[in-house]
Amino acid sequence: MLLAVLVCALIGITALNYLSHILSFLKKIEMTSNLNGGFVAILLKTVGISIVSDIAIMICNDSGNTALGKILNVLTTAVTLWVCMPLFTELLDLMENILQAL
Amino acid sequence: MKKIILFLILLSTIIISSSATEYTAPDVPESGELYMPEDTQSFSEGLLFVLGSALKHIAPDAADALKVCVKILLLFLLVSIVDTVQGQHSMVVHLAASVMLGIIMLQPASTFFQLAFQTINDMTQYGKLLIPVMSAALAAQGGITSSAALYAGTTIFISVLSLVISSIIIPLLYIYLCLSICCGALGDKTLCTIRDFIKWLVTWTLKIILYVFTGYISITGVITGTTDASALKAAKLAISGTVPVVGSIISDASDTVLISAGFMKNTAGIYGIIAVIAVFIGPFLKIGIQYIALKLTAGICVTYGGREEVNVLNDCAKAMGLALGSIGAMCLMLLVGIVCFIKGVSL
Repeated sequence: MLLAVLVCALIGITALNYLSHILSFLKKIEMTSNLNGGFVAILLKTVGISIVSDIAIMICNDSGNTALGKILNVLTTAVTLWVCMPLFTELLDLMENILQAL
Repeated sequence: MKKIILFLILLSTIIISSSATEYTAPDVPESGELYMPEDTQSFSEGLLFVLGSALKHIAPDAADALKVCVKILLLFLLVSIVDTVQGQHSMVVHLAASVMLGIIMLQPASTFFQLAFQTINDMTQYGKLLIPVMSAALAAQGGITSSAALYAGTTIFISVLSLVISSIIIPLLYIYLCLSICCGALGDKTLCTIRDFIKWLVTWTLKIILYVFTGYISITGVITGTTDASALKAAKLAISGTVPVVGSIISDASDTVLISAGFMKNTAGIYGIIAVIAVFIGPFLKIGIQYIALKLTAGICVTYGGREEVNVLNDCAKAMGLALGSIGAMCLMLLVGIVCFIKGVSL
């Protein structure tokens, strides 16, 4: 299992080199479209959390710790929703403003 | 002696009410001044001028619509790249994307709904000033029964439609938009069903009011028009029969007076039609351009975007379409009412 974790880490670091170019392209899209930078960051964070947690869950399942994998899934969902909270808050504030205007 | 008194009474019913009064349409509201032609004698030229002016001023709105659509396209591109990096369809990414799309669309949609609300108010207020003028002019032309029936019907239906749109339909459009965003983000079938119900409700409310109005106007026009035409004929026959020697001359003279009243009524009616279109055309084109732009964007995004986000985008476009339908319904109702007054009585 330790070997699997080490190999995953090495492959992940290699992938980051390629992903850095994609991230700079995404940054360019963000600046061109004038989208809120905070929201794009939230989107990227959720992807990062999802990828890391998927790998961790699979490693747990491979080593026979299915229960650990399941609870890790629950933790991932909670953290992802917590990261997305600013989006929901912004949407709620917008709806409140519209309701007040009505 | 009896014949002279009878003649004077008959003459007064036709001439006195129409001879000394001028019937002019009220000035166009401020929102329509930009598109209103100076000369409204020719209907076709006036209409072309209104359309030309509206198209000349549409460039900034087209640019704004394009900016919103480019933002949406780039958001879809971003989500598509993120999805590819993740390697699988992620509920959370699409939830976040639907919410972001909703945030981008809510502000412009709110602006357009407020514009539709203001346009409805302007058209209603103008209708309340114009319809009494048309009614008085029609009554002066001899259409006493028609004018009363048309005035009552047109005023009631315009008030009802204005109240329904401003108090029920516009708030429902906001709720529809919010439900669309939640439906796209969460995928809950109950929310989607409620959203579809709201769309159906708004569409059928507008249709039913227009159908009932058109039916009322058609039936009223036929019945009262016939009644007034018969009454006018009877009055003319009575005058030419009652008054010796000059009876037919007086009957022809009364015809001239009625035709003059009809001419004033038609002039006011044509100005009123052009004014209503001038108030309606600007907001219609603004919302229409955004609607078309969103539809085109949804068509492009369907090739690489997520199904949930494309559905949210389509729902935003449908909401714009419903706002367009609302102002179109009010404009159509006013135009039909004015045309019925212009049609008047057959002499």
